[in-house]
Amino acid sequence: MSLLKSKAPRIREKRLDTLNAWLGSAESSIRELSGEETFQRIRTFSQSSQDDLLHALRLLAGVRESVVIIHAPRGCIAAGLYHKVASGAGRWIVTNLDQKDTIMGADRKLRKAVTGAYRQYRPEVIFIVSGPVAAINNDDIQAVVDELHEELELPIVPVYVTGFASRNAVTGYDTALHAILKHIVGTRGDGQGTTKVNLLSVVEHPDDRVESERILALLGVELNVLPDGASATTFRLAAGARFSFSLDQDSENYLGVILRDEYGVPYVEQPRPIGLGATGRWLVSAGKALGREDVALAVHEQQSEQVRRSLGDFSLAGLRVYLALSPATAFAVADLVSEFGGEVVGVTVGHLGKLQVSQLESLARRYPSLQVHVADGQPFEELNIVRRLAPDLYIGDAAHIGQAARLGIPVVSLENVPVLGYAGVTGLVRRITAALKNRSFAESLAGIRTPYRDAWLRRSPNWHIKKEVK
Amino acid sequence: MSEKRGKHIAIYGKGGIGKSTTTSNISAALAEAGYRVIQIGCDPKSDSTTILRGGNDLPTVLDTLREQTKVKIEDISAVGFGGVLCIEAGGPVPGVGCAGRGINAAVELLQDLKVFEEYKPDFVLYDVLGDVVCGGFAVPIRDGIAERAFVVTSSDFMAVFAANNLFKAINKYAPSGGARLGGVIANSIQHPYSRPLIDDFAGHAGVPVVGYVPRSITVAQSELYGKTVIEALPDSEQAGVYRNLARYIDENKDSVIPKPLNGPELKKWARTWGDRIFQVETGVVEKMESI
Repeated sequence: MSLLKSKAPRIREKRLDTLNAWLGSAESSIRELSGEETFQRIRTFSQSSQDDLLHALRLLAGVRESVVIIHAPRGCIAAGLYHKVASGAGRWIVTNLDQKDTIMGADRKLRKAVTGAYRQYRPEVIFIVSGPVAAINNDDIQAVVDELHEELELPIVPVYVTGFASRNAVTGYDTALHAILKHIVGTRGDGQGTTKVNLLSVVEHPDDRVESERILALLGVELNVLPDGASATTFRLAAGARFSFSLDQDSENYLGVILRDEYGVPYVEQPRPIGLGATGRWLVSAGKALGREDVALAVHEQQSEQVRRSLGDFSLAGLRVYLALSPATAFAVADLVSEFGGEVVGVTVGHLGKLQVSQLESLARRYPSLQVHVADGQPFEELNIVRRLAPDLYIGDAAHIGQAARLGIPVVSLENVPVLGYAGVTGLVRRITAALKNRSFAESLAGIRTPYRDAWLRRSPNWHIKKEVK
Repeated sequence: MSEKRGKHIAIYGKGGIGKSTTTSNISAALAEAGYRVIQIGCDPKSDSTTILRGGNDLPTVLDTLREQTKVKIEDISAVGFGGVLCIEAGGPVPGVGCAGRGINAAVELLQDLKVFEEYKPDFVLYDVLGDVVCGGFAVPIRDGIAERAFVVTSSDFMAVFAANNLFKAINKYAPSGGARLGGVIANSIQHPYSRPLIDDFAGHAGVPVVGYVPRSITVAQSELYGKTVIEALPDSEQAGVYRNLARYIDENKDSVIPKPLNGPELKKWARTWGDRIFQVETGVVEKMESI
């Protein structure tokens, strides 16, 4: 049966055994994820977490000439606002569901929003994203889609987000991609043939996009980049591309898998090109798929040599590093740290599943006791771990670095920072060097008390993570 | 629908109308004819499959989900008469939660457990409470789960009213990929006017009546033994009625989009029948002439 037949994809927990709560060594993490059955963990105390609505809206904001209608009560626009601020992209409308709508259904309001959005913006595609209310009362979005799709003659794509079905917010990417493929690309075999290669880019820094496209252009390949910055035509073209190529194995996974399984487009998966080694492997794998491996090797040799020269004697030897990033970035940055002789002592990632096993295996060989912490929005747990590990350097997103800095640890923020390719290595090394040299920032913050009592911090870091035994 | 998936059929009707009895007897008759059958009770009362299982207890899907997170098919199913795989969706504790979402969650779980792929049924019958067609209860007919629906009704006006509501739901969802109507099953036929009344209503809504099930003591008797009529009294006339219904469902692929009556039309139609029945009862008209 076609995977696209259902309204929404299977949630990450079911599709990839993805965990959102876990603390263990790299080796025990592999055992957990490679066993016959992966047991979900629950938190008995949780501080905050993102949900799939946020991720779905983030992805859709990147689709060109589109309008997003958030079919939900007005509070749900907070999710839209977040991305408006974060990316500055996307146009959206909220249907402002009220008490009466939850009882009587809100198809009239939705119809009005769709026709209003169409008249005002003349988009190429309109997305209708449901929120928890529509998911609970089963509001009839499909009827509006069917009716207006013909009348307005443009794709109207229902994106069935619940906000509660999955504990892993990344499911929102899958849900949005499922809807796009189902309603824009259509059934198997509809894709037009093209010599282009799909570059799967979900949420990348603009400079990272430029750098990855620059490197691949050196192989003489024409790219069809999606979903970020893509139009409806880009998606249709994707179904007939030569192959799909990775930029972020985790975020893009559903897109690569469906293009492969439903439309027969081979999916070349490769860890993110962060660090010289990983960039080389990434480039060579693209070269292999194109039959231009020798060109890729030559390009890598030339480009990496330039970078090496610019780095001088930069080294992380003897330094213990902690990472708190998205899974694909965290494991790729771990490679970079290792490349420069550093030791990764721990990582905090928002989720962890079968997709990360091979990278975990490679890490576990180098650092068997590496601590793997899976948490989205749990600063207390992370603080507890980082205090115990006392790393020499902390690399993380904006949400994480503040409290690490208050422990007196030099921090490097990767929030809104390009990291990919050869340019990424140079930039990242410059930031790390600056953080290690200028320690006064962290030292002056070191005296600030944490918001947690000592009794709390004496508890084991996984005190609140419990195995679901039922 | 692919053949591997089997035929998925939803049977709706007002509560207490004999829907579960009818569904169970159809399941039993299909199983007796050699088909692999799954019957899924989609009613918080969770008594759909009782007479297929000899009255034994069966934990519902939602009760099991409440108690444990890893659910296996063995935990929530029982094999009943003729090998029918019996499943009860169940519901929340009365007075709390949302039963409609419960049905949604139960069906999703069955899909996750790959029950249909592994059991490879020829027929899956969903026995759905049809008093209230809120979004949740319409799940089996609106999300492409069942391809055909049958509506059970008696000649009582409230049962006809519920059937008409179900027609509205089918009429709404069928054009966007929801189930179409296979027909009406006329149940508890006991008065002379019952059959013509249901025929007339079905005619107005443009739907076929696919079978007439007379009210029979054999049904009550079999239920007291915790069995279907097919099992308890296989040679009875009533068993033949259920076998005919099963045969119809098996052999006939026809389906329609019903044209439900609107409020005033239904009221007017009902009044006409009230007058006709009154005339017969009071002897104004003899020998059912008004009917």
